[in-house]
Amino acid sequence: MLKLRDVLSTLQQVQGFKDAKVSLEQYPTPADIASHMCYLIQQRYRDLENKSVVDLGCGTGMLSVGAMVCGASHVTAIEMDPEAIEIALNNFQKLELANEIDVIQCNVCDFIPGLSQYIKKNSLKDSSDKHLSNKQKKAQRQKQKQKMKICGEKNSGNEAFTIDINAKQLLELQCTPDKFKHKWCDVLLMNPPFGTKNNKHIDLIFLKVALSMTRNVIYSLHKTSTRTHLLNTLQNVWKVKKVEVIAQLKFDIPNMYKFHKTDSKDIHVDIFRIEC
Amino acid sequence: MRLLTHNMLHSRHKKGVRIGYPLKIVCSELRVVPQTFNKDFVKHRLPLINWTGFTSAITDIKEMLAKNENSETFSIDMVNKIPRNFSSDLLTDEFLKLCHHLLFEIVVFEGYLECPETKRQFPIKQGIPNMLLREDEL
Repeated sequence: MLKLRDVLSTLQQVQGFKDAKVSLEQYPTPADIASHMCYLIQQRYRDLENKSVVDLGCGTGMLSVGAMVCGASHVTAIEMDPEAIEIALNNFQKLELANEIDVIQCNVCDFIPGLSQYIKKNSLKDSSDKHLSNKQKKAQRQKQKQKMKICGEKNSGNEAFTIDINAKQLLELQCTPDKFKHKWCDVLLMNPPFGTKNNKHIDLIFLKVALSMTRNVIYSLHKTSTRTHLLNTLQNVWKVKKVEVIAQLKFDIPNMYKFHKTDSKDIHVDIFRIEC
Repeated sequence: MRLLTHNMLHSRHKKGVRIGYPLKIVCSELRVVPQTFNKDFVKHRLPLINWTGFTSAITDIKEMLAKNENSETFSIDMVNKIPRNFSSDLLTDEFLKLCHHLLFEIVVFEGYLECPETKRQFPIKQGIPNMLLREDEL
C-alpha cells in the first residue's frame, strides 16, 4: 500500500541543483510538492503503476524518482544540462533506481524541428541584468565570459534566449514525422520552466513536445498566473481531449538568484492534467 | 540507453534531415542489467514500439549480444528468429520474456548513435546518449 509519508521521505533525499542556471530557469521541485503530485496521480488516477513514464526536463530527477516510488515500470528522464544530469545520476544511484531510469541528454526545443528559426539567442545577457547597476552588469558579464571560456562549450546554459512564436504557429510545427507516430510513453510528468522570464512561451513548447510524446496523459506544473492563458490555448487553439487543474499548491522558492530580493517567496502553482 | 529508448530517438532536429530514423547503434560496451519481468506491462508496451527501429537495433548490436549472452535463458538463435514484422500472434510467454530482455535489460553503455542520412554521430557515454546539436546544425 502506497503511503504519502514514504514517498515524501524518499524524495527528501533527492539532491537539488548545486549551481542553478537562471537562463534555464532551474528551480528545484520541492520534495513535498513532488510527493503530493505523484501520490495524487497514482491514488486518484492510477496513472503511474505499471506505466511507462517520461520526465521532461528532469533537472536533478525529482519527478523521475517520484514516479518510480509510486510504481512506474520504466522512466525516461530527459535533460539538457550536463551538471543537472550528473546530480540526477547520483540521486538515482543513491536510491538504487539507476537501473530502472534511462537518461537522455537532449534539448526539449529540438524535438520540434523548425523551431530554431523562432529562437533568438542573446548570449551573455542574463535576465537578472535589469535589477543590477551598470557596473555590476559589466562585472557579471566579464565573469560569465570567463566562465564560458573555461567551459569551452556553447551549451553551458549561460545563454538567455527569446522565442518569438505564438500558440498557433507552434501548433503547425510537426514534432514527429507522420510515418513514425509511435509514442514514447503512457504518462508524462514535468515541471517545465514557467516561461515568465526572458524565455516566454517555453512552457508552451514543453507542452507541445509533451503532447507529441505521450499516449494518454500529461501532468504538468504551471504558475497559477498563467492558468487562464494555458487553459485557453490547450482547449481552444490546440483542442486537446480534456484539460483540468487538479490541484493548486504553494511553491516556496528560496532565494537562489541574485535578482531575488527577499529570502524566499511563495508562488502559487497548478497541477495540470491533460488528456490527449 | 535501453533499446526501448533507442526506439524513440531520431535525428530529425538536425538541419537537412528528413526522417532520421532509425539511428544506427555502434556499441563498444554493452551491459546486461536484470529487471523484474512484468508480463502485463511488456504485453501492453510491445505493440506500441516501432518494429522497424527495434529490428534495426537488434541487427546493429547482434555481435555484441553474441559476445555477452552467456545465460541459458536467451540464446542468439532466439534473437535471430525475431521476425521483420510485428503481429499479435507473436505474444507467447517465451517471446514476451525475450523482448523484455532485449528492450529493458540490455543497456548500450558506451558507443554512439549515427544518423542514417547525414552520418552525424551522437556519443553515448555512461549509458547516456547526447543528442545536443551545435547551433550551426539546427
